[in-house]
Amino acid sequence: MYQNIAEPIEVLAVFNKKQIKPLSFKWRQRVYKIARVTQQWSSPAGKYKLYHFGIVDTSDNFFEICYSEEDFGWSILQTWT
Amino acid sequence: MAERTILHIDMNAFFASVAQATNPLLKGKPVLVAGNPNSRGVITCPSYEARKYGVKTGMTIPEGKKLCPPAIIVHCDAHNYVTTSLKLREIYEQFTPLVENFSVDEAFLDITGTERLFGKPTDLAQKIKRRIRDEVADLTCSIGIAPNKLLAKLASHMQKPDGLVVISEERVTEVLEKTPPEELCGIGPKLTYYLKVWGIRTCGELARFPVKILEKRFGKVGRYLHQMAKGEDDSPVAPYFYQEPAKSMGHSCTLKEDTYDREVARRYLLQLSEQVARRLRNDSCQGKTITLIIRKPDFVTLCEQTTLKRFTADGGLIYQTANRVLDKYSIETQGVRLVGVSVSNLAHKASQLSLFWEERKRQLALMAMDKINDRYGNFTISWGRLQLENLHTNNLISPAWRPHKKIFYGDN
Repeated sequence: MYQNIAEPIEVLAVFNKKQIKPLSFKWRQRVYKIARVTQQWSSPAGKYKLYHFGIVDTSDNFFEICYSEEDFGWSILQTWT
Repeated sequence: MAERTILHIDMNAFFASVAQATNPLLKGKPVLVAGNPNSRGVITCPSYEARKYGVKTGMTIPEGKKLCPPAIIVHCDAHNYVTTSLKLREIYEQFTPLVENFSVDEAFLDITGTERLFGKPTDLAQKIKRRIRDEVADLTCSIGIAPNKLLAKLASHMQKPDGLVVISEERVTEVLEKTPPEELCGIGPKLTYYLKVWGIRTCGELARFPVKILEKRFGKVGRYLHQMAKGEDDSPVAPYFYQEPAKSMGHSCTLKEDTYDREVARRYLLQLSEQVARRLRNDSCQGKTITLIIRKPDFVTLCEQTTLKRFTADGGLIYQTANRVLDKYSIETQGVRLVGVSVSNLAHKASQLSLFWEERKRQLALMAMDKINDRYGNFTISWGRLQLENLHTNNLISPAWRPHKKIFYGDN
Protein backbone atom coordinates (compact mmCIF):
# COMPACT_ATOMS: atom_id res chain seq x y z
CA MET A 1 0.00 0.00 0.00
CA TYR A 2 1.00 3.61 -0.42
CA GLN A 3 2.62 5.36 2.51
CA ASN A 4 2.36 9.14 2.47
CA ILE A 5 5.57 10.84 3.59
CA ALA A 6 6.09 14.49 2.55
CA GLU A 7 9.67 14.93 3.78
CA PRO A 8 12.46 16.98 2.23
CA ILE A 9 15.16 15.01 0.42
CA GLU A 10 18.44 15.69 -1.36
CA VAL A 11 18.43 14.86 -5.05
CA LEU A 12 21.11 14.60 -7.67
CA ALA A 13 19.47 15.60 -10.94
CA VAL A 14 20.26 16.82 -14.43
CA PHE A 15 18.50 20.00 -15.58
CA ASN A 16 18.78 20.20 -19.33
CA LYS A 17 16.71 22.77 -21.24
CA LYS A 18 13.16 22.04 -20.07
CA GLN A 19 13.90 18.50 -18.91
CA ILE A 20 14.58 17.44 -15.34
CA LYS A 21 16.10 14.02 -14.82
CA PRO A 22 16.57 12.85 -11.23
CA LEU A 23 19.43 10.36 -10.89
CA SER A 24 19.61 9.53 -7.19
CA PHE A 25 18.30 10.82 -3.86
CA LYS A 26 19.19 10.74 -0.20
CA TRP A 27 16.40 10.09 2.28
CA ARG A 28 16.82 9.32 5.99
CA GLN A 29 20.61 8.98 5.57
CA ARG A 30 20.29 6.41 2.82
CA VAL A 31 21.11 6.93 -0.85
CA TYR A 32 18.75 5.49 -3.47
CA LYS A 33 19.88 5.16 -7.07
CA ILE A 34 17.07 5.81 -9.55
CA ALA A 35 16.76 3.05 -12.15
CA ARG A 36 14.01 4.76 -14.16
CA VAL A 37 11.43 7.51 -14.16
CA THR A 38 8.08 5.84 -14.84
CA GLN A 39 5.91 8.92 -15.15
CA GLN A 40 6.31 12.68 -14.93
CA TRP A 41 3.57 15.24 -14.36
CA SER A 42 3.02 18.66 -12.86
CA SER A 43 0.54 20.30 -10.53
CA PRO A 44 -0.07 23.93 -9.66
CA ALA A 45 0.92 25.36 -6.29
CA GLY A 46 -0.36 28.91 -6.53
CA LYS A 47 1.57 30.67 -9.28
CA TYR A 48 4.36 28.10 -9.12
CA LYS A 49 4.45 24.51 -10.22
CA LEU A 50 5.37 21.24 -8.61
CA TYR A 51 7.00 18.65 -10.85
CA HIS A 52 6.16 15.10 -9.82
CA PHE A 53 8.17 12.02 -10.74
CA GLY A 54 7.15 8.40 -10.34
CA ILE A 55 10.43 6.55 -9.93
CA VAL A 56 11.74 3.05 -9.38
CA ASP A 57 15.10 2.53 -7.67
CA THR A 58 17.65 -0.15 -8.45
CA SER A 59 16.06 -2.45 -5.83
CA ASP A 60 12.65 -2.13 -7.52
CA ASN A 61 11.08 0.11 -4.87
CA PHE A 62 8.58 2.71 -5.99
CA PHE A 63 8.65 6.36 -4.84
CA GLU A 64 6.93 9.57 -5.83
CA ILE A 65 9.26 12.54 -5.52
CA CYS A 66 8.54 16.15 -6.27
CA TYR A 67 10.48 19.29 -7.26
CA SER A 68 9.14 22.69 -6.28
CA GLU A 69 9.68 25.56 -8.68
CA GLU A 70 9.08 27.97 -5.80
CA ASP A 71 11.96 27.07 -3.48
CA PHE A 72 14.00 24.74 -5.75
CA GLY A 73 13.50 22.06 -3.09
CA TRP A 74 12.85 18.36 -3.50
CA SER A 75 10.59 16.22 -1.35
CA ILE A 76 9.47 12.62 -1.20
CA LEU A 77 5.68 12.36 -1.24
CA GLN A 78 4.97 8.66 -1.06
CA THR A 79 6.36 5.20 -1.33
CA TRP A 80 4.87 1.78 -1.97
CA THR A 81 5.42 -0.73 0.81
CA MET B 1 -20.76 15.85 -47.42
CA ALA B 2 -17.68 14.18 -48.96
CA GLU B 3 -16.63 10.90 -47.41
CA ARG B 4 -14.64 11.42 -44.24
CA THR B 5 -12.34 9.20 -42.20
CA ILE B 6 -12.78 9.61 -38.46
CA LEU B 7 -10.81 7.90 -35.71
CA HIS B 8 -12.14 7.49 -32.21
CA ILE B 9 -9.44 6.70 -29.68
CA ASP B 10 -10.56 5.37 -26.33
CA MET B 11 -7.88 4.73 -23.74
CA ASN B 12 -8.49 1.44 -21.93
CA ALA B 13 -9.20 1.75 -18.18
CA PHE B 14 -7.32 5.05 -18.37
CA PHE B 15 -7.06 6.11 -14.72
CA ALA B 16 -6.12 2.60 -13.55
CA SER B 17 -3.66 2.13 -16.43
CA VAL B 18 -1.94 5.44 -15.63
CA ALA B 19 -1.73 4.40 -11.96
CA GLN B 20 -0.17 1.09 -13.03
CA ALA B 21 2.24 2.81 -15.42
CA THR B 22 3.28 5.26 -12.69
CA ASN B 23 3.85 2.48 -10.16
CA PRO B 24 4.94 -0.66 -12.05
CA LEU B 25 4.52 -2.69 -8.84
CA LEU B 26 0.75 -2.42 -9.44
CA LYS B 27 0.97 -4.07 -12.88
CA GLY B 28 -1.11 -7.22 -13.22
CA LYS B 29 -2.90 -6.51 -9.93
CA PRO B 30 -6.55 -5.52 -9.48
CA VAL B 31 -6.55 -1.76 -8.91
CA LEU B 32 -9.51 0.45 -8.07
CA VAL B 33 -9.01 4.17 -8.61
CA ALA B 34 -11.27 6.13 -6.27
CA GLY B 35 -11.76 9.79 -5.41
CA ASN B 36 -10.54 9.28 -1.88
CA PRO B 37 -9.61 5.79 -0.70
CA ASN B 38 -10.29 6.70 2.94
CA SER B 39 -13.77 8.02 2.34
CA ARG B 40 -16.97 6.74 0.81
CA GLY B 41 -16.38 8.06 -2.69
CA VAL B 42 -17.11 5.92 -5.70
CA ILE B 43 -14.79 3.91 -7.90
CA THR B 44 -13.90 6.05 -10.88
CA CYS B 45 -11.99 3.35 -12.72
CA PRO B 46 -11.30 -0.32 -12.03
CA SER B 47 -8.35 -1.96 -13.84
CA TYR B 48 -9.05 -4.84 -16.22
CA GLU B 49 -7.80 -7.26 -13.54
CA ALA B 50 -10.50 -5.91 -11.17
CA ARG B 51 -13.18 -5.94 -13.87
CA LYS B 52 -12.78 -9.71 -14.12
CA TYR B 53 -14.27 -9.87 -10.62
CA GLY B 54 -17.28 -7.84 -11.75
CA VAL B 55 -16.21 -4.45 -10.39
CA LYS B 56 -17.65 -1.54 -12.36
CA THR B 57 -17.20 2.22 -12.49
CA GLY B 58 -19.58 4.01 -10.12
CA MET B 59 -19.66 1.30 -7.45
CA THR B 60 -18.81 2.34 -3.91
CA ILE B 61 -15.47 1.19 -2.48
CA PRO B 62 -17.06 -1.35 -0.11
CA GLU B 63 -19.05 -2.82 -3.02
CA GLY B 64 -15.87 -3.10 -5.08
CA LYS B 65 -13.92 -4.64 -2.21
CA LYS B 66 -16.68 -7.18 -1.59
CA LEU B 67 -16.53 -8.37 -5.20
CA CYS B 68 -12.76 -8.21 -5.38
CA PRO B 69 -11.14 -8.62 -1.94
CA PRO B 70 -7.50 -8.43 -3.18
CA ALA B 71 -8.18 -5.08 -4.91
CA ILE B 72 -5.75 -2.24 -4.21
CA ILE B 73 -7.40 1.15 -3.73
CA VAL B 74 -5.49 3.96 -5.37
CA HIS B 75 -6.13 7.66 -4.88
CA CYS B 76 -7.28 9.58 -7.94
CA ASP B 77 -4.45 11.88 -9.09
CA ALA B 78 -6.10 14.34 -11.44
CA HIS B 79 -2.90 16.16 -12.38
CA ASN B 80 -1.24 12.95 -13.51
CA TYR B 81 -4.24 12.06 -15.72
CA VAL B 82 -4.49 15.55 -17.18
CA THR B 83 -0.75 15.65 -17.96
CA THR B 84 -0.99 12.22 -19.61
CA SER B 85 -4.07 13.30 -21.57
CA LEU B 86 -2.20 16.36 -22.86
CA LYS B 87 0.79 14.22 -23.87
CA LEU B 88 -1.61 12.00 -25.83
CA ARG B 89 -3.12 15.01 -27.55
CA GLU B 90 0.33 16.20 -28.59
CA ILE B 91 0.83 12.86 -30.35
CA TYR B 92 -2.59 13.04 -32.06
CA GLU B 93 -1.89 16.57 -33.27
CA GLN B 94 1.16 15.35 -35.14
CA PHE B 95 -1.19 13.42 -37.44
CA THR B 96 -4.00 15.98 -37.86
CA PRO B 97 -4.90 19.41 -36.49
CA LEU B 98 -8.54 18.29 -36.22
CA VAL B 99 -8.48 16.66 -32.78
CA GLU B 100 -11.48 16.82 -30.48
CA ASN B 101 -10.94 15.76 -26.88
CA PHE B 102 -14.25 14.10 -26.08
CA SER B 103 -13.16 13.53 -22.48
CA VAL B 104 -9.96 13.07 -20.55
CA ASP B 105 -9.41 9.64 -22.15
CA GLU B 106 -11.25 9.83 -25.46
CA ALA B 107 -10.59 11.78 -28.63
CA PHE B 108 -11.90 12.06 -32.17
CA LEU B 109 -9.44 12.67 -35.01
CA ASP B 110 -10.50 13.68 -38.50
CA ILE B 111 -7.79 12.10 -40.67
CA THR B 112 -9.51 12.69 -44.01
CA GLY B 113 -6.87 13.25 -46.69
CA THR B 114 -3.85 12.14 -44.66
CA GLU B 115 -3.26 8.86 -46.56
CA ARG B 116 -0.41 10.24 -48.65
CA LEU B 117 1.40 11.33 -45.51
CA PHE B 118 0.74 8.47 -43.12
CA GLY B 119 -0.62 5.57 -45.19
CA LYS B 120 -3.89 3.72 -44.74
CA PRO B 121 -6.06 4.66 -41.72
CA THR B 122 -5.32 1.29 -40.08
CA ASP B 123 -1.56 1.92 -40.47
CA LEU B 124 -1.99 5.37 -38.93
CA ALA B 125 -3.95 3.86 -36.04
CA GLN B 126 -1.19 1.33 -35.42
CA LYS B 127 1.40 4.15 -35.49
CA ILE B 128 -0.59 6.04 -32.83
CA LYS B 129 -0.82 2.93 -30.64
CA ARG B 130 2.93 2.38 -30.95
CA ARG B 131 3.79 5.99 -30.18
CA ILE B 132 1.58 6.01 -27.09
CA ARG B 133 3.37 2.91 -25.79
CA ASP B 134 6.83 4.23 -26.64
CA GLU B 135 6.48 7.89 -25.69
CA VAL B 136 3.78 8.26 -23.04
CA ALA B 137 3.46 5.14 -20.96
CA ASP B 138 2.62 1.50 -21.29
CA LEU B 139 -1.03 2.29 -22.07
CA THR B 140 -3.34 0.56 -24.51
CA CYS B 141 -6.23 2.03 -26.43
CA SER B 142 -9.09 0.88 -28.61
CA ILE B 143 -9.43 2.66 -31.94
CA GLY B 144 -12.51 2.82 -34.13
CA ILE B 145 -12.31 3.97 -37.75
CA ALA B 146 -15.47 4.97 -39.61
CA PRO B 147 -16.95 7.63 -41.90
CA ASN B 148 -18.36 9.64 -38.97
CA LYS B 149 -18.03 10.23 -35.21
CA LEU B 150 -21.07 8.16 -34.22
CA LEU B 151 -19.81 5.05 -36.01
CA ALA B 152 -16.16 5.59 -35.02
CA LYS B 153 -17.20 5.62 -31.36
CA LEU B 154 -19.32 2.51 -31.85
CA ALA B 155 -16.37 0.79 -33.55
CA SER B 156 -13.91 1.60 -30.75
CA HIS B 157 -16.30 0.02 -28.22
CA MET B 158 -16.54 -3.20 -30.22
CA GLN B 159 -13.13 -4.52 -29.25
CA LYS B 160 -11.59 -3.91 -25.84
CA PRO B 161 -8.88 -3.75 -24.71
CA ASP B 162 -6.32 -2.80 -27.37
CA GLY B 163 -8.76 -3.10 -30.27
CA LEU B 164 -8.82 -1.76 -33.80
CA VAL B 165 -12.14 -1.95 -35.65
CA VAL B 166 -13.04 -0.46 -39.01
CA ILE B 167 -16.63 0.20 -40.07
CA SER B 168 -16.44 1.04 -43.74
CA GLU B 169 -19.24 2.82 -45.62
CA GLU B 170 -20.29 -0.48 -47.23
CA ARG B 171 -20.58 -2.29 -43.88
CA VAL B 172 -22.65 0.33 -42.05
CA THR B 173 -26.09 -1.24 -42.66
CA GLU B 174 -24.82 -4.74 -41.92
CA VAL B 175 -23.18 -3.68 -38.64
CA LEU B 176 -26.14 -1.64 -37.41
CA GLU B 177 -28.78 -4.26 -38.30
CA LYS B 178 -28.12 -6.27 -35.12
CA THR B 179 -26.63 -3.50 -32.90
CA PRO B 180 -28.83 -2.59 -29.91
CA PRO B 181 -29.67 1.16 -29.96
CA GLU B 182 -28.13 1.70 -26.49
CA GLU B 183 -24.70 0.93 -27.97
CA LEU B 184 -24.87 4.25 -29.83
CA CYS B 185 -23.48 7.30 -28.05
CA GLY B 186 -26.38 9.50 -26.92
CA ILE B 187 -29.01 6.79 -26.41
CA GLY B 188 -29.38 6.35 -22.67
CA PRO B 189 -31.44 4.04 -20.45
CA LYS B 190 -34.63 6.14 -20.64
CA LEU B 191 -34.74 6.24 -24.45
CA THR B 192 -33.84 2.55 -24.56
CA TYR B 193 -36.76 1.81 -22.24
CA TYR B 194 -39.24 3.65 -24.48
CA LEU B 195 -37.86 1.97 -27.59
CA LYS B 196 -38.16 -1.47 -25.97
CA VAL B 197 -41.78 -0.72 -25.07
CA TRP B 198 -42.36 -0.30 -28.83
CA GLY B 199 -40.52 -3.57 -29.46
CA ILE B 200 -37.45 -1.88 -30.96
CA ARG B 201 -34.38 -3.87 -29.97
CA THR B 202 -31.89 -3.16 -32.75
CA CYS B 203 -30.77 -0.19 -34.82
CA GLY B 204 -32.09 -2.01 -37.91
CA GLU B 205 -35.58 -2.05 -36.39
CA LEU B 206 -35.24 1.59 -35.31
CA ALA B 207 -34.21 2.65 -38.82
CA ARG B 208 -37.33 0.98 -40.28
CA PHE B 209 -39.65 2.45 -37.63
CA PRO B 210 -41.81 5.32 -38.98
CA VAL B 211 -39.92 8.54 -38.33
CA LYS B 212 -43.20 10.45 -37.88
CA ILE B 213 -44.13 8.40 -34.83
CA LEU B 214 -40.63 8.95 -33.40
CA GLU B 215 -40.97 12.69 -33.98
CA LYS B 216 -44.41 12.75 -32.43
CA ARG B 217 -43.10 11.09 -29.26
CA PHE B 218 -39.62 12.61 -28.93
CA GLY B 219 -39.80 15.81 -31.00
CA LYS B 220 -36.52 16.75 -32.71
CA VAL B 221 -34.77 13.90 -30.95
CA GLY B 222 -37.02 11.47 -32.84
CA ARG B 223 -35.50 12.53 -36.16
CA TYR B 224 -31.97 12.28 -34.72
CA LEU B 225 -32.77 8.76 -33.50
CA HIS B 226 -33.84 7.76 -37.00
CA GLN B 227 -30.63 9.21 -38.49
CA MET B 228 -28.47 7.57 -35.82
CA ALA B 229 -30.07 4.19 -36.49
CA LYS B 230 -29.07 4.57 -40.15
CA GLY B 231 -25.52 5.47 -39.09
CA GLU B 232 -25.81 9.09 -40.25
CA ASP B 233 -23.93 11.80 -38.37
CA ASP B 234 -22.48 14.88 -40.02
CA SER B 235 -21.22 16.57 -36.85
CA PRO B 236 -17.68 17.84 -37.40
CA VAL B 237 -14.63 16.98 -35.31
CA ALA B 238 -14.40 20.18 -33.27
CA PRO B 239 -10.96 21.07 -31.86
CA TYR B 240 -10.84 23.20 -28.70
CA PHE B 241 -10.91 26.42 -30.75
CA TYR B 242 -14.27 25.47 -32.36
CA GLN B 243 -15.97 24.17 -29.27
CA GLU B 244 -19.01 25.86 -27.83
CA PRO B 245 -18.56 27.49 -24.44
CA ALA B 246 -19.79 25.64 -21.36
CA LYS B 247 -23.55 25.73 -20.71
CA SER B 248 -23.22 25.15 -16.98
CA MET B 249 -20.57 24.77 -14.30
CA GLY B 250 -20.97 22.73 -11.17
CA HIS B 251 -19.30 20.75 -8.42
CA SER B 252 -20.51 18.00 -6.16
CA CYS B 253 -18.97 16.14 -3.27
CA THR B 254 -19.74 12.93 -1.40
CA LEU B 255 -19.55 13.76 2.32
CA LYS B 256 -17.01 11.95 4.51
CA GLU B 257 -20.01 10.35 6.25
CA ASP B 258 -23.78 10.73 5.97
CA THR B 259 -24.82 13.76 7.94
CA TYR B 260 -28.02 14.77 9.69
CA ASP B 261 -26.45 18.05 10.77
CA ARG B 262 -27.58 21.07 8.75
CA GLU B 263 -24.45 23.07 9.62
CA VAL B 264 -22.16 20.40 8.11
CA ALA B 265 -24.20 20.30 4.90
CA ARG B 266 -24.08 24.10 4.74
CA ARG B 267 -20.28 24.15 5.05
CA TYR B 268 -19.95 21.75 2.12
CA LEU B 269 -22.42 23.85 0.15
CA LEU B 270 -20.44 27.04 0.84
CA GLN B 271 -17.18 25.45 -0.28
CA LEU B 272 -18.76 24.06 -3.46
CA SER B 273 -20.40 27.44 -4.19
CA GLU B 274 -17.00 29.12 -3.83
CA GLN B 275 -15.39 26.62 -6.20
CA VAL B 276 -18.10 27.13 -8.82
CA ALA B 277 -17.92 30.92 -8.46
CA ARG B 278 -14.16 30.89 -8.90
CA ARG B 279 -14.45 28.83 -12.06
CA LEU B 280 -17.08 31.25 -13.37
CA ARG B 281 -14.84 34.25 -12.64
CA ASN B 282 -11.79 32.53 -14.17
CA ASP B 283 -13.75 32.06 -17.40
CA SER B 284 -15.28 35.58 -17.26
CA CYS B 285 -18.74 34.05 -16.90
CA GLN B 286 -21.78 34.81 -14.82
CA GLY B 287 -24.85 32.66 -14.33
CA LYS B 288 -28.49 33.09 -13.40
CA THR B 289 -29.86 29.63 -12.59
CA ILE B 290 -28.63 27.90 -9.45
CA THR B 291 -29.26 24.17 -9.02
CA LEU B 292 -28.91 22.40 -5.71
CA ILE B 293 -28.33 18.64 -5.78
CA ILE B 294 -28.86 16.51 -2.69
CA ARG B 295 -28.34 12.76 -2.53
CA LYS B 296 -29.88 11.03 0.46
CA PRO B 297 -28.24 8.05 2.22
CA ASP B 298 -30.63 5.74 0.31
CA PHE B 299 -29.18 7.13 -2.98
CA VAL B 300 -32.38 9.00 -3.90
CA THR B 301 -31.24 12.22 -5.58
CA LEU B 302 -33.13 15.50 -5.43
CA CYS B 303 -32.51 18.52 -7.67
CA GLU B 304 -34.08 21.94 -7.46
CA GLN B 305 -33.42 25.05 -9.51
CA THR B 306 -33.83 28.72 -8.71
CA THR B 307 -33.40 31.48 -11.26
CA LEU B 308 -32.10 34.83 -10.05
CA LYS B 309 -33.13 38.17 -11.47
CA ARG B 310 -29.56 39.02 -12.43
CA PHE B 311 -26.34 37.26 -13.40
CA THR B 312 -23.76 36.52 -10.74
CA ALA B 313 -20.34 34.97 -10.19
CA ASP B 314 -20.36 35.65 -6.47
CA GLY B 315 -19.92 32.51 -4.34
CA GLY B 316 -21.74 34.16 -1.44
CA LEU B 317 -24.86 34.80 -3.51
CA ILE B 318 -24.75 31.34 -5.09
CA TYR B 319 -24.48 29.85 -1.60
CA GLN B 320 -27.35 31.95 -0.20
CA THR B 321 -29.61 30.97 -3.10
CA ALA B 322 -28.78 27.27 -2.85
CA ASN B 323 -29.06 27.40 0.93
CA ARG B 324 -32.62 28.75 0.70
CA VAL B 325 -33.49 25.62 -1.26
CA LEU B 326 -31.58 23.47 1.23
CA ASP B 327 -33.63 24.98 4.06
CA LYS B 328 -36.77 23.40 2.56
CA TYR B 329 -35.22 19.97 2.93
CA SER B 330 -35.39 18.12 6.24
CA ILE B 331 -31.75 17.11 6.77
CA GLU B 332 -32.29 16.19 10.40
CA THR B 333 -34.65 13.33 9.53
CA GLN B 334 -33.63 12.35 5.98
CA GLY B 335 -29.85 12.87 6.01
CA VAL B 336 -27.43 13.81 3.24
CA ARG B 337 -24.84 11.71 1.43
CA LEU B 338 -23.83 14.07 -1.39
CA VAL B 339 -24.18 17.80 -1.96
CA GLY B 340 -23.79 19.50 -5.32
CA VAL B 341 -24.34 22.93 -6.77
CA SER B 342 -24.30 24.05 -10.37
CA VAL B 343 -24.85 27.33 -12.19
CA SER B 344 -26.41 27.43 -15.64
CA ASN B 345 -28.02 30.01 -17.91
CA LEU B 346 -24.55 31.47 -18.41
CA ALA B 347 -23.49 34.77 -19.90
CA HIS B 348 -19.95 34.65 -21.25
CA LYS B 349 -17.48 37.55 -21.17
CA ALA B 350 -19.72 39.14 -18.57
CA SER B 351 -17.25 40.30 -15.96
CA GLN B 352 -18.32 43.92 -15.82
CA LEU B 353 -17.96 45.93 -12.61
CA SER B 354 -21.19 47.16 -11.04
CA LEU B 355 -22.14 50.85 -11.10
CA PHE B 356 -23.36 50.67 -7.51
CA TRP B 357 -20.68 51.27 -4.95
CA GLU B 358 -21.62 48.60 -2.36
CA GLU B 359 -21.75 45.90 -4.97
CA ARG B 360 -18.64 47.23 -6.65
CA LYS B 361 -16.72 47.03 -3.35
CA ARG B 362 -17.70 43.38 -3.02
CA GLN B 363 -16.63 42.62 -6.61
CA LEU B 364 -13.27 44.32 -6.01
CA ALA B 365 -12.81 42.27 -2.83
CA LEU B 366 -13.52 39.08 -4.81
CA MET B 367 -11.00 40.13 -7.47
CA ALA B 368 -8.38 40.70 -4.76
CA MET B 369 -9.22 37.29 -3.29
CA ASP B 370 -8.79 35.64 -6.68
CA LYS B 371 -5.42 37.30 -7.16
CA ILE B 372 -4.18 36.00 -3.81
CA ASN B 373 -5.53 32.51 -4.50
CA ASP B 374 -3.97 32.49 -7.99
CA ARG B 375 -0.62 33.31 -6.47
CA TYR B 376 -0.64 31.16 -3.35
CA GLY B 377 -3.09 28.38 -4.22
CA ASN B 378 -6.84 27.76 -3.99
CA PHE B 379 -8.52 28.55 -0.67
CA THR B 380 -5.47 30.42 0.70
CA ILE B 381 -7.98 33.17 1.46
CA SER B 382 -11.63 32.33 1.81
CA TRP B 383 -14.61 32.53 4.16
CA GLY B 384 -13.79 32.02 7.83
CA ARG B 385 -16.17 29.06 8.05
CA LEU B 386 -14.14 27.22 5.43
CA GLN B 387 -10.82 27.76 7.15
CA LEU B 388 -11.95 25.56 10.06
CA GLU B 389 -11.76 22.36 8.08
CA ASN B 390 -10.70 21.42 4.56
CA LEU B 391 -13.71 19.53 3.31
CA HIS B 392 -12.71 19.12 -0.25
CA THR B 393 -9.87 17.51 -2.07
CA ASN B 394 -8.85 19.31 -5.22
CA ASN B 395 -7.39 16.19 -6.69
CA LEU B 396 -10.50 14.87 -8.36
CA ILE B 397 -11.32 14.90 -12.01
CA SER B 398 -14.50 14.30 -13.89
CA PRO B 399 -14.14 11.71 -16.66
CA ALA B 400 -15.83 14.32 -18.85
CA TRP B 401 -12.91 16.74 -18.40
CA ARG B 402 -11.53 18.14 -21.60
CA PRO B 403 -9.20 21.00 -22.38
CA HIS B 404 -11.27 24.01 -23.44
CA LYS B 405 -8.29 26.10 -24.43
CA LYS B 406 -4.84 25.47 -25.80
CA ILE B 407 -2.83 24.04 -22.96
CA PHE B 408 0.29 22.02 -23.31
CA TYR B 409 1.77 19.24 -21.29
CA GLY B 410 3.45 21.04 -18.39
CA ASP B 411 0.99 23.94 -18.42
CA ASN B 412 -1.86 22.25 -16.58
